[in-house]
Amino acid sequence: MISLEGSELDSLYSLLPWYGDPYTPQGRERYERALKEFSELKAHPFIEELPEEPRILDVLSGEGIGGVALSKSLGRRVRLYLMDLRERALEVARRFSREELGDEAEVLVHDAIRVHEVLRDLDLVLMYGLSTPHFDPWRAILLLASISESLKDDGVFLVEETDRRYWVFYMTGYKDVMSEFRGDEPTLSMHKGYDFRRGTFKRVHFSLLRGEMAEFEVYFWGVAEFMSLMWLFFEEVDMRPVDYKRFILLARHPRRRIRPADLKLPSMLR
Amino acid sequence: MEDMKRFYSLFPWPEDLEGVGRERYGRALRYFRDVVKHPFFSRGSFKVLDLMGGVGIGGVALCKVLKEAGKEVKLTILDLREEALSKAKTFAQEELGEAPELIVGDAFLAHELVERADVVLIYGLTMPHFDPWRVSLLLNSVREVVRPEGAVLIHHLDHIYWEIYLHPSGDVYPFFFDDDLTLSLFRRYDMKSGSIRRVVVSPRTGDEVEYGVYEWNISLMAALIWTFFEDVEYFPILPDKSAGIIMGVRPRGAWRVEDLKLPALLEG
Repeated sequence: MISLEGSELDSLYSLLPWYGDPYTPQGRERYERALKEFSELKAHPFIEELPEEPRILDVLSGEGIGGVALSKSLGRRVRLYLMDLRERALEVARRFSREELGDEAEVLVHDAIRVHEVLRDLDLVLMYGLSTPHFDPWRAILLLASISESLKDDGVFLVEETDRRYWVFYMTGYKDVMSEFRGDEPTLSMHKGYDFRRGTFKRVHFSLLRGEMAEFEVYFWGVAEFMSLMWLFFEEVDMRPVDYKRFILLARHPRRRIRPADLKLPSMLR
Repeated sequence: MEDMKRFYSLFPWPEDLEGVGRERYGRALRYFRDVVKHPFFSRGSFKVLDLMGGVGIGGVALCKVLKEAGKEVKLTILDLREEALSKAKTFAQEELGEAPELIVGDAFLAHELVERADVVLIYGLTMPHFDPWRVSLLLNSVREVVRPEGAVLIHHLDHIYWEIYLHPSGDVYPFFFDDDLTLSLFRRYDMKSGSIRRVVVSPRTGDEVEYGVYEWNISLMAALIWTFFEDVEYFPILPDKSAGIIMGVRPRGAWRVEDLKLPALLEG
């Protein structure tokens, strides 16, 4: 299954054209966009019916843009937890939450597929930042089982998602080699292999300026795939578009038909 | 639900049991000779349900291989198409020496239509007919049919590898069948189901039918099976492992058929 250490993720994110730090202009822009999107989402019954002082966890939070924006836009007191494998990102997140919310979020260096080991009775879990490609379907199931376990019976799971099957596979076409710019820094993303058992594409990201590279695996989720898996773990599912490419997927009421302890590594992956 | 009878009247899927069909049967025998080496098949008798079995190539091949291994077998074939089942009856009699039980019906209602089985087989690269939502419904019905120590076997291809990575073309596919031409045309992508809506057209008669096709990989199908069965094993049938038989063993007991109803967001 896809699994990276925090330091490997640091290395990867230093090369990708991705702006997680809210103290950069691009990161600030993402934060402001998230504030607007969550303000519009507030009227959704899954959000509107949250308790007065909800306990919210942002998984794969990075520097906390999603969790802080959601908490701020709710306009009520929130107990916020931010979880990621990257300690350095969480240090930024801690400061950012204090400055934006007044209260400092509790940060946890922990793997999202084992949330239930450290947190329970949550009202809402958020995964913001188009993070699903970090999970192959096996690991997505472990994630959903763990999140279901960590939520209250009427708990809510929110996922920011895009349809990569449509945009990458059908519109653009999968590319063996492609150029990407991190600001003005030219980088190359290159195909290295495909893993049938996990459905993942192995790619190498290479900075032409720094000569550094990072290898990573990516799973190209479509909206239907991830949402239908959410449906196996939650009784109610819904979705809201936030722009022409992105959606917020919503799920409520964990079924708990499949619990973390039920999921032993299948023979196929051994 | 798609109009499968109409679809198969236009789509050139080989159902003869002589030429191409006989070759398919020969391949199925080879695949299953490998599969039945798994310890799951060490018991003495098997009740096999061939779901969406058509003319019975998969079910007959599996039962033939089990009989060769000295097992007692009882075969049931379920399909919507009576004509295909009629061919299946003759074929099974010829190959196994006895007629199978035949059920005309919808695979999604298998839990209502058939008795419990040791093995449920879905053979013939059938799954692109169904998106992940419907496959979950189907697997939940299959889970109910499979006995506690039983298994589901699904013959499957990694379409993402073949049709997205290796051969990404695909707006129009020509198919030739008995010197006749049938075209499959891209119409649109349906984001909620993840399916491509295509139209199959006979240029000779002008007949057409729209259908959905979902491009599965091996991984998502196997992982979905894992949500309904405790363990999953994979038997590759191509050297690069891009096609094979996925086996889910021991149905999970916590699920109920009535748990899953398609959500409202799929309507409209």
